[in-house]
Amino acid sequence: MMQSGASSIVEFENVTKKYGEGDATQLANDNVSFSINEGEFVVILGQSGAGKSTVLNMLGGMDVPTSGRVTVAGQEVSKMNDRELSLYRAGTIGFIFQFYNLLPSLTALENVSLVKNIVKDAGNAEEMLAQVGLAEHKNKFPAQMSGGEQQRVSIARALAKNPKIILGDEPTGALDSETGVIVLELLQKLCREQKKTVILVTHNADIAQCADKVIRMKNGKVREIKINEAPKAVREVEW
Amino acid sequence: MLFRKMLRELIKNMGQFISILILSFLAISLFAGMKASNISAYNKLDDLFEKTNNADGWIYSEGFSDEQLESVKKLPDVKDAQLRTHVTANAKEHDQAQLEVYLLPENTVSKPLVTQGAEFDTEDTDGVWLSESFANAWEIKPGDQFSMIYMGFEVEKTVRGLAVSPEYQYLKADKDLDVVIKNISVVYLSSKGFDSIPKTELIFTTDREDVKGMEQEISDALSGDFAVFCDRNDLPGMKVMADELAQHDQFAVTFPVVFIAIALLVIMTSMNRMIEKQRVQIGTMRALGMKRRKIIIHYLSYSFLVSFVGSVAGLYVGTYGIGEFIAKIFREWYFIPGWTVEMDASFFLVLALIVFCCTGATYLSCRKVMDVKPAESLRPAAPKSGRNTLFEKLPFWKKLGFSSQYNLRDISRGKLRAFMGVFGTAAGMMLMVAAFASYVTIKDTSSWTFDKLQRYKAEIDFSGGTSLSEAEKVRGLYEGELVQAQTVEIAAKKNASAGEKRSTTMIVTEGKGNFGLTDVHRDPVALPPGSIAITQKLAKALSVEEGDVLYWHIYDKNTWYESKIGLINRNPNLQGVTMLRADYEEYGLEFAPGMLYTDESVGYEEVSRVSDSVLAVHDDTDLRESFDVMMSMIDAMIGVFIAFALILPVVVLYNCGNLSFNERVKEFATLKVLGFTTGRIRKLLSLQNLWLSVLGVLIGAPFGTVILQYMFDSNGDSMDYQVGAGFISYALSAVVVLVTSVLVSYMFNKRIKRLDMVEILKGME
Repeated sequence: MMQSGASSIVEFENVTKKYGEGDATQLANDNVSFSINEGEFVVILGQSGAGKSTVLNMLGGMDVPTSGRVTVAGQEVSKMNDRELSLYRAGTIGFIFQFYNLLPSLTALENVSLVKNIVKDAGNAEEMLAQVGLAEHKNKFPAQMSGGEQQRVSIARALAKNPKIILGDEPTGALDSETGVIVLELLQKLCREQKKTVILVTHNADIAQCADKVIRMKNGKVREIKINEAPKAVREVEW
Repeated sequence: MLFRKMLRELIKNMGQFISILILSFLAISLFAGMKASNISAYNKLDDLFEKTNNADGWIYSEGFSDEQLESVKKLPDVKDAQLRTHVTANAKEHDQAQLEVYLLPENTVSKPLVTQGAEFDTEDTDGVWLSESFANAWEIKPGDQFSMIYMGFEVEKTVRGLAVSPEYQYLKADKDLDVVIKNISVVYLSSKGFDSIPKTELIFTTDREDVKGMEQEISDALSGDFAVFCDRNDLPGMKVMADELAQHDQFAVTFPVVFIAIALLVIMTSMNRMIEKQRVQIGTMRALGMKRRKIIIHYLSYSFLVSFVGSVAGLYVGTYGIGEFIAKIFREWYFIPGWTVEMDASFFLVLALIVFCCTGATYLSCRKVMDVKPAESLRPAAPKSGRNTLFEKLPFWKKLGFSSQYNLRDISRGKLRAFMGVFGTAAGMMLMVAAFASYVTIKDTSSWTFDKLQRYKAEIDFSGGTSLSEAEKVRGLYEGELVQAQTVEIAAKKNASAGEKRSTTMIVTEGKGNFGLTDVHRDPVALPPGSIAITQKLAKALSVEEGDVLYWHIYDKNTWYESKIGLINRNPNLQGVTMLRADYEEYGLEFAPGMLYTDESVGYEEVSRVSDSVLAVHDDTDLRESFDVMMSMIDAMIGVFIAFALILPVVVLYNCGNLSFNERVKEFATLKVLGFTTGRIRKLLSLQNLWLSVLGVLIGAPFGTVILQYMFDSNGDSMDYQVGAGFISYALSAVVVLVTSVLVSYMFNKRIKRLDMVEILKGME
């Protein structure tokens, strides 16, 4: 359900990423190009070793390409230094990890409030937790919550930064299917209702059915970019 | 294969292992350094005493007869005994050096140990034997002529040999504040030809441990006709040295204990961490079927190797570096032939103890992981879960920022680590304050001495036997105060036994104030006529106070006197009693001043023109100079102290930061992904270290003066220093420690920058 006339927020132009040198060189991304529009729900799909995580790392400002250009929200990420990357991560990107990466010594509420230390106009932490349905669990520590709950805290934390893009790295990978559905529904809802651009990296082809755009990768190359004319609602998919 | 794994991991965790190495090195090198010179000193002293058949008991009187000697010799406990005469004279030349002259009728007890020239010979009436140190300083050789002045008479003899005296490891001229070897010598002569001079000393050897316990039988043998009975502890020439060695023995325990405690903390926390990090590897090794014992031995070998290398290096450097350095310094003050450094069994015991503790700490953490089932240990341990901490009960908890809350919770997760940080900085702070405070204290003592106690421009010393009228003649020319100093024995009660008496210095003054007195608050005060003043330390030792009666007698005279204590006074360098001339003469005693403290700046040249009896003149720059020498020694000490004081917080805080960093590396990676800059994360890390150091500073600060006072007090009974630090010592120390703490956090900058967010966050929890 791509909106016509929407501007592109992510541009990958001929991006190549090599690791190592000489004989040991590994080509993680080989001349990758694609674009993502604002408000899209995008799934980057591929088996392990396909190069999708490398794309996500560069998109997230955790790594820079060997050659090519990465532009996100008008900023050229591929040319940034350490400090600029920090600011970029802080201002533009909301991360969701496979293993949540909450700070174990902080409660749910504190984990979300943490964002106040990073961006000036952080969202209200309690509201964010309410949005993900965890208002009652705000004083629990991560170890006292289920995986799904922890992942929802991590989404609330991402939301609190009011980011332009939400990046998820196998966000349902560690969850059972029912909990995974709840998390995905939440992400889809954010995309539809709050016009957030959501980019998920996964090897789970089923998730692709819910996406506006599917970028399929193999051996470090983009094999196919498919626009889903009628993305399914999360509940409609057979999990 | 496992050996290679160990070496590689040692290199990988260099920082941690180096701090363990440094701490075990420091602990044992301090111990060995303090101890090595002592062991040598004790051994060489034993040698010296054996070779010279040094006396165990000294009895003084106005003169002993041969019959008295015979009856002492007959006592069952007495092995050897002899008589001799001791007088103090001066060299005719050689700056009129002070001479402790011994006239020997025989040479069986406390024999001079001749190091050069002919052996001592009682038949040789023309020969003289001098102290080796004195002769070398003046380049006097056997065969040279040497002239002495005693009571105005000149005696010239031929130097036959140079010797070391077993009774004088410490030899300081009365006019000097410190040891100046050119100014004093022990002199041995045959007593033949001096028959009119009474034999004032009876010395003997015994196998009994409690020499003082022989007082009754000695007294019976001598029919009570003697003045003083002493053992080795009463002789300043030996006691000062013995005190010094005892002090080193004490330091050899106190200081290393602090370092060993800190080393153990660091080792325990680091090994714990290291083993936890290796959990999966341990699980793998076990899954592969490796024996439990083999795995444990593998991990024990890490800490064994590191602590063993550190300790052995520490033992070597401590003994031959620090120990030899200490021996070298003290050889300038004390005379013990052949004094260097030696080791004994205790060195290897302490080494074994340190290595055992290090390895033991590792064993404990290792066993914890080994008790987990292999299948479980293949997976990483569950992260320490967040819990509500005590800190949250603080009323202002909610108002604290993220950094504070986060760090407080982290501290409560790693209590041992936090304790190590606080303890290490506290110890560093303590040493640092002690270092600065010793400077302040000496400065303060200098002004106490020169502004309140030594209130004169010059000190004119008279030669022995100068008459009162001669001294008064000089005082007529140079306005000032005549002062007599002599050794007395004091007691708090009549007929006190040997253990209840103290030999000390009695100063007799004319009460004009040039010889100043200060009360217990160190304020200038005058001695009330008709009473005696006693220094505070001595008063405490005898449990006497103002208003009590003090019993005393002149050292080599047998008559006892009583005086009322009218003042408890304090003096940093001189402990004893003080009396006014008028009161002294009331007892029918003859005032025999040895010096004149004058308000006028005069030199020796000038005074010696008006009187033949003037031995030396010290103006107050001379006196201040000897203080400056002491100051420069303290400066060196401060340097060493500060170096040690700095190593502690650096090593400990680095370790704290390191452990804390490793434990939170995943969290820091998360924060970095969320957009925290490197600087922000470093601040987060350094905030905790800063807290721990502030706590350490607050806890350690008060102990600085405590330990310094303990050090000064262990210097022996003759000193009474008032330790003070002043605001500046605390401020400087705190700044140095806190700056160190902040600088240490910069050591983590690179690691934070290089944090591999991608890798770390991929890992499963």
